[in-house]
Amino acid sequence: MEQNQPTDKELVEMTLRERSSFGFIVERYEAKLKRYINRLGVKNPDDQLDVLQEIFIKAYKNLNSFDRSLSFSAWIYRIAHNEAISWYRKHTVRPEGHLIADSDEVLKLIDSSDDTPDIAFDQKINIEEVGKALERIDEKYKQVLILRYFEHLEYDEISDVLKIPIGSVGTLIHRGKKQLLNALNQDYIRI
Amino acid sequence: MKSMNGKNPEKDLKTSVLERLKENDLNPRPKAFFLVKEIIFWFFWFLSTGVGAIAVAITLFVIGYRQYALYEATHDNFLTFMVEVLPFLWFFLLFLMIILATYNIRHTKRGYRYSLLVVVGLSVGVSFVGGVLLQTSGIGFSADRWLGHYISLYNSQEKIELRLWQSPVAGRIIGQVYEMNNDNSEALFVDIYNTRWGLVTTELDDDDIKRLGTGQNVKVVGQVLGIKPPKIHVCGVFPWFYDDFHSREEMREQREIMKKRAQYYFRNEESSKLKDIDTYKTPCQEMMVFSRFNYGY
Repeated sequence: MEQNQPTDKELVEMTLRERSSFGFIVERYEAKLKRYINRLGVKNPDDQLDVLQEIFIKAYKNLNSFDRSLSFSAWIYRIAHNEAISWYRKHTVRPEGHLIADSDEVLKLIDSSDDTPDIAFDQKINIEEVGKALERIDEKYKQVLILRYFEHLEYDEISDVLKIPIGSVGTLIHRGKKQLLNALNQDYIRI
Repeated sequence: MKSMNGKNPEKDLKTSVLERLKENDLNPRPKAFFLVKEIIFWFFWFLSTGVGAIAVAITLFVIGYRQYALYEATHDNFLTFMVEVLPFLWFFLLFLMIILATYNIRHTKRGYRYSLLVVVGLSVGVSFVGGVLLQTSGIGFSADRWLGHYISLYNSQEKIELRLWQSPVAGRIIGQVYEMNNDNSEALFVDIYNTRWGLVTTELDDDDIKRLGTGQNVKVVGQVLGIKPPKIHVCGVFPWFYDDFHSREEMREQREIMKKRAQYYFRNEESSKLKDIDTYKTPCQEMMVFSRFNYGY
């Protein structure tokens, strides 16, 4: 984002004065949220469009509930998260992530220093394998790992998105990585 | 509207969202809506911790002050006594209120950020501190009594104590003397249900006689000699405390009176043969109630 661009909070203030300013928020978050709901399992482009519309309509209607002292990004991700979940509940399908990750993201996940268990597995793991392994771990771990390593959110932002205590975010990431490691090891055994 | 990042704006979504907002004349919900929502959660949190505090206050009142002094007179042991008098309803209410308080605080704007332990701890802590304050200002006693008066199904400590002590079959009655004979060996007594009793007071000491003579409600324990007409051989007289707030010290005094009576009845050699009732000489010595006080003599 360029320096002269308004911040999220400024955009919120602008939108509250003038509805059309909400278009800037839509523009700013459309791609990010599309990618996020895709990762959470809303894969069909038409469904994605519907879900995104609902996300932005809800965001607009609830704009006054946004706490200015918190991150807008986390706030709108929270709405997206809820909409994605209610979407796949309505469609009675298990959330199936479709992980679009680049090699940097995967390497970051593997090498990240904020883990306590030492994840020392082969650096040559390919993206596809990590993606498959993430599909098999518990939903709660998958969600937190996606937010941390694919959406690059901070712990407090993840806490705001998932509405869980900040301390639990660290625990979930720690356990999620452990489970991911087990899932990856199982893949190796199969191979 | 031009794109702010200079890239090709994804017009479809932006346009459709803005059109939908316009067509349906959608507006952001007013701040007051969210403020009221927040206030409601906090209100229910205060309410649930408040009720929790009352539960704690009444529990402390029951545990700290009531009826322990003479539990041997009404129960075989401390356990059966506790099962009868402990305010289980309030324990349950306290538990329920803590769950409610936790739920409400977790649904406030930032309540989710704190761990369950912190949130539960806060609700429990506030309930306990509030309960101690309420109890020290006498509200535990008053609330329990007030509820007992206005809710027929509510088993207040007053009702429990009345039930325990107004039990003629077990030789316990509550009431006051309205006439005594000249040598203080007999008295006429009316219990709280207006039944008139003849009291045989030959085994009472001077302190007991004094308590009978005050004209106040007293607790009488003895051997029932007959029902028609109601007559009881009195073995002990104790103040009826439940008309006001009384200190632990007063309770201790009451217990000492009871111990003294027990010691008096079991002072002779037969006292060591508690199970052999035939050896007892007086109606009061036959009362196993006092044998429960005899430990250690």
